[in-house]
Amino acid sequence: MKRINEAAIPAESDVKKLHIIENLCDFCGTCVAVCPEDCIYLKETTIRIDFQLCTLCMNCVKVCPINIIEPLNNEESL
Amino acid sequence: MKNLFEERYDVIVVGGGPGGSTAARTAAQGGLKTLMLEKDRDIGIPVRCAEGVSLERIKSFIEIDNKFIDDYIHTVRFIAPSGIALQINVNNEIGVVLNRKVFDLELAKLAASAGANVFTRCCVTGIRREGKLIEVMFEHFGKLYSAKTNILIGADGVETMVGRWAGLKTRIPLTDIETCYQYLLFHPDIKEGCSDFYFGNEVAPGGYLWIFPKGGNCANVGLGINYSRAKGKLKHAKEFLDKFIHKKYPGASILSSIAGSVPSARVPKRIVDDNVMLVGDAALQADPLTGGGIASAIIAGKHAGKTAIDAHNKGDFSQKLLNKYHKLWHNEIGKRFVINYRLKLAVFKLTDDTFNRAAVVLNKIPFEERSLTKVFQTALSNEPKLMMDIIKAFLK
Repeated sequence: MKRINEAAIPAESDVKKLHIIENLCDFCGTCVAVCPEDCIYLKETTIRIDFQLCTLCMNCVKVCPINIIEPLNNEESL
Repeated sequence: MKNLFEERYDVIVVGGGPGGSTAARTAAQGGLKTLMLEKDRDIGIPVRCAEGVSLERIKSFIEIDNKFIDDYIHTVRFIAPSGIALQINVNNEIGVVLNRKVFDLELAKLAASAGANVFTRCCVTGIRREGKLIEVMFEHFGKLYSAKTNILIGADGVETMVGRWAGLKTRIPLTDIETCYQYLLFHPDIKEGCSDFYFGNEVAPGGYLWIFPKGGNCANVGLGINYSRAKGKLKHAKEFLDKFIHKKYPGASILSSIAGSVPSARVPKRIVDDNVMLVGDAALQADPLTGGGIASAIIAGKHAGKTAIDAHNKGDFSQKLLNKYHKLWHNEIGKRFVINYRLKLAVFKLTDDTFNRAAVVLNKIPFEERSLTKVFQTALSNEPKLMMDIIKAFLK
């Protein structure tokens, strides 16, 4: 029996590795398309990264057509 | 009050674009009880697409009507980095610029009139296997619903979740995705009927910039780049586009502005699982050389729908049977993309110097002989191994 696959909004994490400028996001899904860990949650106008799964490969940072994902220094994590 | 959704369908299609609508329509025409779910508020909006398509490829799926055609293209030009323009002889192949808000809506109406149930504002949140069926969970106006089906067709775009949930390898490596930005631009210099393509490592590294006229001095002006080819300071699609517009169309008005991406990949070996088929951008079925995905998605939708009918007739929903869909799509259009992927890799690596020299040489050839084949042969003349590919790519 295959496991349940569901998209749940990841909980706000203590350690934020990347910052998305949400109010500028176009929700185009490019970041989701290249994420090897499938840790970007995108639903209509909500975008969130599950930092428990994120390996900081930087694919999303590189490909965003409007450059609104930025890496954070961990000392700056919220 | 009657329930909006039933508990069980023969086919559930996720995604209401051209691929999804064609799959739903074909399945419904075959008598299958079909549900199509679109997450956005409207079919056809937003338009994340340059909207260019060959008329020949869509004719058999929909009666051609000017209500969804914004312009007919009679002139195609390639512009080299030096600025030299090269007019291409497209040998009477008619290209059009669609109004996809209307086009997608017409395709969805055809699905509905064939008997499919179509709903917007339905966002699929997950799937699970329940015995021999798949249960699809979705949200509509804040309420959670679920429905079971023998066949799930994922036509949910480049950021496909159905693909991920079915365990199919649809995540795209950085070398195989074109990240894009596009404006609907108004400018007095924009003329109808003429489609320009700009190449070069400064204007659109690993891709190209397109100008697709939409009538009334407007055009879709957009570009796709590949990050791995962006060697300079600029790295993101919008930056490249803004630089171009600032120079070429100063003072332009912007009537629409959108980001998106297009796979320029080889289709994965598996786009099918037990009870599941992926269609269109979700299956990476865009032409890797041009990025064109509309016709490919429609053809895939047709074959997925037909295979769904076959599966129901035989009571067999296994990956083995459903894989016939992939073979049918491959034979009709996919096999050209294998060649086009190799051409893409070669074109990716061309220097601005090569583009410029090719433009000078090709301009000396009389227009009657200036076909796309000739263009590629000249540009890739340093790659003799690709000559067969070039010839095969452009043989109809």
